[in-house]
Amino acid sequence: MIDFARVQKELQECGKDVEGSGIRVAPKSDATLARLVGTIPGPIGTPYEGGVFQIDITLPDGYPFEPPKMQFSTKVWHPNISSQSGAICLDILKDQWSPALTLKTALLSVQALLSAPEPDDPQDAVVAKQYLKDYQTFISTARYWTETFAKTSSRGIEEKVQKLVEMGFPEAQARTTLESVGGDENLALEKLCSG
Amino acid sequence: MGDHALDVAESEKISESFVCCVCLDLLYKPIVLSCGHISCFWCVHKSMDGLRESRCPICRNPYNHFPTICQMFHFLLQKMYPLTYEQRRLQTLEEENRMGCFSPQFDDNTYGSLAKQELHCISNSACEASHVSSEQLESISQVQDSSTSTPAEAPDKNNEVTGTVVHNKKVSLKKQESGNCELVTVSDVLCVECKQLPFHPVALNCGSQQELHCISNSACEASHVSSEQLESISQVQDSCTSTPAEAPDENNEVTGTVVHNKKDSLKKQESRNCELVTVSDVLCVECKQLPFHPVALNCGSQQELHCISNSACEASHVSSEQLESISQVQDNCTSTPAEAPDENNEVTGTVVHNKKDSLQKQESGNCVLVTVSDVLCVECKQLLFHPVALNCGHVYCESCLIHLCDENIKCRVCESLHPTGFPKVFQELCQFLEERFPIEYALRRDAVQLKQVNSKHESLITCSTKADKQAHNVQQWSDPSSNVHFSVGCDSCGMFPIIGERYNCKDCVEEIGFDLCGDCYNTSSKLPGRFNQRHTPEHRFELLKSNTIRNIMLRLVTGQFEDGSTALVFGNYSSENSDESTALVIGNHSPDNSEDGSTPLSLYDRAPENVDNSSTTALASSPGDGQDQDDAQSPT
Repeated sequence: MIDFARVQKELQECGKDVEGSGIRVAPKSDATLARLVGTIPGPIGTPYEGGVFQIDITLPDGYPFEPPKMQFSTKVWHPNISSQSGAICLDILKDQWSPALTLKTALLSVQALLSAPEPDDPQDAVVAKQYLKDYQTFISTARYWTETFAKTSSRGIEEKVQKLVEMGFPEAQARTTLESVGGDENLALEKLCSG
Repeated sequence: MGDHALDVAESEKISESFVCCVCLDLLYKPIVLSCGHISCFWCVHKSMDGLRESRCPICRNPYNHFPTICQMFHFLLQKMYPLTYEQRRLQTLEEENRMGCFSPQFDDNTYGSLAKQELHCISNSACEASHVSSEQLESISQVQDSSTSTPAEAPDKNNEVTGTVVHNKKVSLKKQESGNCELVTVSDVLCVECKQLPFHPVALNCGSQQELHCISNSACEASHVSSEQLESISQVQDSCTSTPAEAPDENNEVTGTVVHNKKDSLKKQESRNCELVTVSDVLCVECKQLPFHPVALNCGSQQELHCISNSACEASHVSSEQLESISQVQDNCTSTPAEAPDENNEVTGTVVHNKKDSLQKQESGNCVLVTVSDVLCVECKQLLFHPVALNCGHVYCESCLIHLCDENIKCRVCESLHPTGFPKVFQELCQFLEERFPIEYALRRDAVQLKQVNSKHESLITCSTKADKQAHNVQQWSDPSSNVHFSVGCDSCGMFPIIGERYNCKDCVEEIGFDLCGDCYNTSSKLPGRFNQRHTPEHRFELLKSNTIRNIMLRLVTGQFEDGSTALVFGNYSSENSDESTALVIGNHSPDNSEDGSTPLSLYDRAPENVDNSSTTALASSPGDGQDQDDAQSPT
């Protein structure tokens, strides 16, 4: 049985400090408080800066004595977050959960995870490998993903793709090249031209 | 319900330090963990881990004993936030009814409502039915206050006992949010003569409140004096407008001007704080009774209010905490400040005009109600300094406890052992005390620091005992042969889950059951159950074995074993199994012991009804017998 009184209080508390933390939590629908959506801003000074990430939250029956289930619904390029499913590898969302933690503090921890990846305990092996072996590419990919998926004005990418297509490149190739260079139009053009 | 909850929440601002970290509501039946963090009874219980040692939700400090509710803190919160606390009680009760499992109930009688039962009606007309107990008081605003009494002075000046009638306007009391009144009981306002609720109480010049006498002729009639209850409604026609009286006798040494009391037109809006104020808070220093027209002298503080001798002492509702007049109230009794008429007086004062009537307490200092006597150390009986709570819920000063304990920490009150290391200071209470009683607290600090100079080495010892115990604990958990009864707690010491022997009561009908660990069984504890079970000493116990297979599986699942030890356990288990033929028992157990952690109730496993009797040993309740039989049965 979820303690809805507590969830209600958490939402109120979180609502008070949206300005300060930038973290929001809202019910997905009016029908139930068991399914929520959390929003966190990408931490400043990281490739995620400027992005706004949405996280699906499902409260288990035992909440707050069991951890909430959280999953990114915005695509993220991060060693501890699955690039496919958005699953998060974070101890406090698993065995280190404590009933004194709240949705807001959990989201804060997720935000902290964005700024401090732990490639040694990966969720997404591909990303972790890239992080360890080719940090620069990791950064630019992460930035590109942020630009593409975590910004409301991600239409910019589409325009760039369109431009390249007009120059005569196939759309799929243009898109992947753009992604690989982090969305930089000129770099993508260079790369496409060089082969 | 929602609206009501909101109202209450608005009217009583709850200090952040008294909010439970788990339910984010006012603490209800608080439990103090040995790390000094507090939570509600159910919040602690639900957050405990039935499979292994639990961790504090805040600091993750490990513990494996479910502590007892801290009663002192419970009553403190009840006093400070009566409305919210009552609301929490109802909420919790509802929840408990749903679960069919209850938290311990406390006897409120110890806190002052004894008088209710002891009240007897007097034979004469004297005692009339009254609505004294504030809980019941509720007069409607529309009531025409027909019984306006005219203040009468003591008719016979030759009487030894002279006083004036304390005029009661409280007839027109209205309880709006009311909860505080509950604190006042009849026993607070008894007539010293007839031991009943005084009706027209008079205060004698000669002495204190205890010397209220019934005026013989008019006998004792019921009244609603105590200021806590007073609340007149704005609509009430305030028929008894009092005219400020100047000190009539210029020759008096003590002269002052009338402090005019608007109290008739008081209204309690946010009010619950008023409950805290009792008559004893606003006594006249001279007559020790409730002052009617109090005057303040120039010479000194509030404590030097004197009764003006002739006009005698009449009741007033001065204390600013209670006073709160509404702007809408027709202030019929505007007082004119009068200066002291006689300049020859030694003591001259100016009128203290009570405007505090219009004080508003927003941030609800219900803490005013808290007195030092509510927060005493059980050992030194002084204000708690650096309070620490033991597993049994008793609260000591840190310094007192250091002096008490050697190797084991044992409560002086209930003689129970504190299972974990030296408890940490209970910070929330500590801060509260420091703010509430700054002077007393500073004094205590000085006193304690003096003592502590000599006792530093002792605190070192306690640190080491803690380390020892923890090491011991770890051993227990990883020891494959230790008998862990998952999700079963000891109702005496609170060990959860029980490690070692587990005795289950056969006669307790509550679903949650009644279990004792081996140690508690052997000391035949008198404590009631943790969940209000109706366990009596006559009940019989049986020794239950833990489910070995289940233990292993659970430990494997929860990853408590290192690889080496698991293999060993399996080896051990197979040989044990053939020897003991416990297979049947295990089979019976497992369906009941399904791992269903969804309700707290199921965390405490009930012994399955259908357990094969031959496999469990029925024991008489006397520990000695039990021990013998146990020995006989246990495979060696």
